[in-house]
Amino acid sequence: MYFAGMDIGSSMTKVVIINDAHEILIRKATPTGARHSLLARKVFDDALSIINLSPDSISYVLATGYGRVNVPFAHRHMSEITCQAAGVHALFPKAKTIIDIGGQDAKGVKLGDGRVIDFIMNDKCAAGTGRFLEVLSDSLDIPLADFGHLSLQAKTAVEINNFCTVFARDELTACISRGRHIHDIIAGVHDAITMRVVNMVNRLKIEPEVVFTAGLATNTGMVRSIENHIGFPVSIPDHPFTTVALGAAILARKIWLKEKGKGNS
Amino acid sequence: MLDTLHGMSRVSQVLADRSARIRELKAQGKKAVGYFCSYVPVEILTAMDLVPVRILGDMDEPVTEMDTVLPTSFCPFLRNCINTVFRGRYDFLDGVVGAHSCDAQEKSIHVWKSKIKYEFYHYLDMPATLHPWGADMYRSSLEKFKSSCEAWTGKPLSGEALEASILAHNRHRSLVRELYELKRFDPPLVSGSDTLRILTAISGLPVDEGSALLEAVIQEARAGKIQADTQDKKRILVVGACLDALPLIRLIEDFDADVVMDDNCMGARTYFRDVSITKDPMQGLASRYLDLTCARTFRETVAGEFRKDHAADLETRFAHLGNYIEKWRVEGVVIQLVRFCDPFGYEVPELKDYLNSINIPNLYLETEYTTGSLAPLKTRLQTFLETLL
Amino acid sequence: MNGYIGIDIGSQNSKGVVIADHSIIAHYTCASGVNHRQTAEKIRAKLLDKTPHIRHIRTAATGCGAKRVAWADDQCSDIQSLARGICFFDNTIRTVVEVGDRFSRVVRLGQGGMVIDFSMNHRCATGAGVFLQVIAKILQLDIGDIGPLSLKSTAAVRFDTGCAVFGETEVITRICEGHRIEDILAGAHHSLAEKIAAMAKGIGLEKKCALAGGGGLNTGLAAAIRKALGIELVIPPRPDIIGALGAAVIAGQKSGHQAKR
Repeated sequence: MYFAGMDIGSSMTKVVIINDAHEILIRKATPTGARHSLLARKVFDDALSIINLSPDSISYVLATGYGRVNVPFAHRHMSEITCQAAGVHALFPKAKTIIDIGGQDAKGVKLGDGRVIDFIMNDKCAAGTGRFLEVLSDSLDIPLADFGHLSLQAKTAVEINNFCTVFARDELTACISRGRHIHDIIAGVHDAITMRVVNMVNRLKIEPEVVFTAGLATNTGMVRSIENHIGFPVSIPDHPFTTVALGAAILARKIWLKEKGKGNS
Repeated sequence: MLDTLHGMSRVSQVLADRSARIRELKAQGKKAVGYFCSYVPVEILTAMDLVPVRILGDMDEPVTEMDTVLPTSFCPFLRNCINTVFRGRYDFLDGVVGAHSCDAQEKSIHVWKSKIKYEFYHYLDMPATLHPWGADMYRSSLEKFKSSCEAWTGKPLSGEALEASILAHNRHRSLVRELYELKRFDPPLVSGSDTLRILTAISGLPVDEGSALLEAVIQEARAGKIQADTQDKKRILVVGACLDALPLIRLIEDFDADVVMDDNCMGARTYFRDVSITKDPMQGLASRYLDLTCARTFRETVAGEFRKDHAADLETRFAHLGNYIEKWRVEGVVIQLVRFCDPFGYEVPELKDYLNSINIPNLYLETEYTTGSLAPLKTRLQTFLETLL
Repeated sequence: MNGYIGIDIGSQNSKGVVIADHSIIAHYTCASGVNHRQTAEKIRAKLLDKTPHIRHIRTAATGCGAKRVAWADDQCSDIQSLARGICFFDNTIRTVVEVGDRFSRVVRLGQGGMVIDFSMNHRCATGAGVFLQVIAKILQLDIGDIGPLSLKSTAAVRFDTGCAVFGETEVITRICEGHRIEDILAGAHHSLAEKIAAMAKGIGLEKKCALAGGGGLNTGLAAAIRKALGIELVIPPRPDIIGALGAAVIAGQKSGHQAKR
């Protein structure tokens, strides 16, 4: 038996397929673009062909993420927070707090017995999300992949005084023309995001083990910034982009078994 | 003719144009008085042959007229209501009554009065606590309200008329409670969204017509004609201030849940308490109205001993919720806070304490009373409802 | 003839104006770029080139890059420049709405361009032109084309966000939903117009009202703002140079003061 989790994010579409023994057969991530429903099907089919499975062999497909309602072949959709919790718990059974900073939003989740007991999110303002870094990468003309190691060389992180992504970008352009070093600027940008997100998640009371996941967890500078701010190390999944899809696949299996138990096939 | 429809069809008809029936009544010589808040004793208005009409907002209406008169960091519900007033949507009223249930309402009433000419305005002063001297003050405030109505209409308010009105409104409230009883079933015989539609419809009709409408709707509900078709929906209670907008309830229903019970101004807060029939109807009114379970009133278990016994204080303030949760078999509570609402905002930590102490999962949501602010609520609601699985 | 120069270094575009004998003699616009000092020099050179017969008495600078105009005699605020500039254009105007790239401003003025009251966005860029810039970029359209295209809409799509950053995602969603470009653009223009109108109504509109700034060049935006405010708006032939014009006026006035001493 096989189960698929699809995470239709605003920038990337991810699919994870697991078998009955919770073994991961494939993880795949593709840029989303504008046509959610078409791409979801394509990503799903491509993943299946890589592992030589037919669509019929998938017993249950669970969709999540921003575009979750646009996946017509999914049996059900659930929120990305629920799926994130399931995915993280499978990888880190002792995790109590999740810090998730994605491209469009930032979330904090408290876990208890592997389930969501509380959560908080910011999806109102781009400052404090990966979007902030994207905008700056664009205007500073430095690839996002370089942000991590550049910031680790900072001497004194720049302080950013603007809340708004648009104005913050202008502030940083001015910093450059005033001769502030690019290492300090990027470190300052990471700190700005960290402050917003950690202050938000702290409303749930951050408790170890803390798992830092989603897009920004691949940025070593962000990891350092968060660890400095909360005062202890965080755990990072090997594949931070696909923990949500993994959780969706795990829940797909769980729901399928439950429905089978009830006599529905 | 407007009164040939019955039950839920009539509900839809009234909702399509809340002013239609009022205009008919005005053509017959009646006068209509608008009011914002559950603290306004509508019995006095009915007794004086005035038709009480609850003022509601419109989430689809962009608020464009308010920046010159009300600050942006101000109750979005009231800003929206006054905006609809300024756009002429309540031109059919002859007067309006507001109460000092909160500062925002007080300011809104004065803004309204300064900009729009009606024959009749009344503002009800209210105490913030339930101490005996507060009750006395409220009693005199009601006497003043009565005199104000008498001066306007040119007629005295007789004791008999007031008693009859109290009986009519008590009966009206008991019918709403009867409707709510039907929500204890699984699945409920009336959905959360239909409940709000019914409550909205009756809030703009004379009390006897509203009661007749409720009787017809209750009959339809008992016959299973308006029941939602699926079972296994999560049973939710929504607590907060005014909730007159369908979209939030519909969002909850989109995720396989139903709002089976509430503690807010359009619903239980208004209808789950009657006026005691005594020799002193005005006192009966004062007692009943001052004791509404609204966050604007500061409640201590023992006067002057706030926080001496936190658990006891929580019981005093929220025990009615525990009661609702038990009787309606509620599985989760949504705390709906309209942004900038200080009275309810202050209460949220304590409310969460209480709900956690009785092991009821709860979700805190901040709403802005605009359709644009609904999208961020979807993920939060869905996640919360999924934790109830 | 004595002339006065006004230079407005904006976040996107920079403008220069020369006035002499109560008329605009020359003007020049170019992108601000990253080096504002160089941009200012370039504008000066162009203006001098166009006005060889003028004796340039005084220069005033305004805009976010005003401090980089090192040789300017005066530095003026955007608000003051806007007020004096619109007054020079038409001294019966009493309210001016300026839509810039990062900031939109509403100014109520009295006689002689005296500022009575003003408002602008300050916490975030919502209500400013960058919203449309971002959307034009995503749709791969020239900023000059989006206005006329928006006017071809038959059913404007409603936008939930006014944020330039989230606007980008919202546009993608709307494309995904199958809406026409014209309708999406109309919705975006309408959303921006509503934010600007709210700011304007907060100050209170006194007639005659004018529209200035780069946003005034966008016919779709002008129409949307007119509709949102429900009043007639006068638009100068070059609304984007009003700030620079006002700076030049101020330079002239200050020069007059000095001469009197």
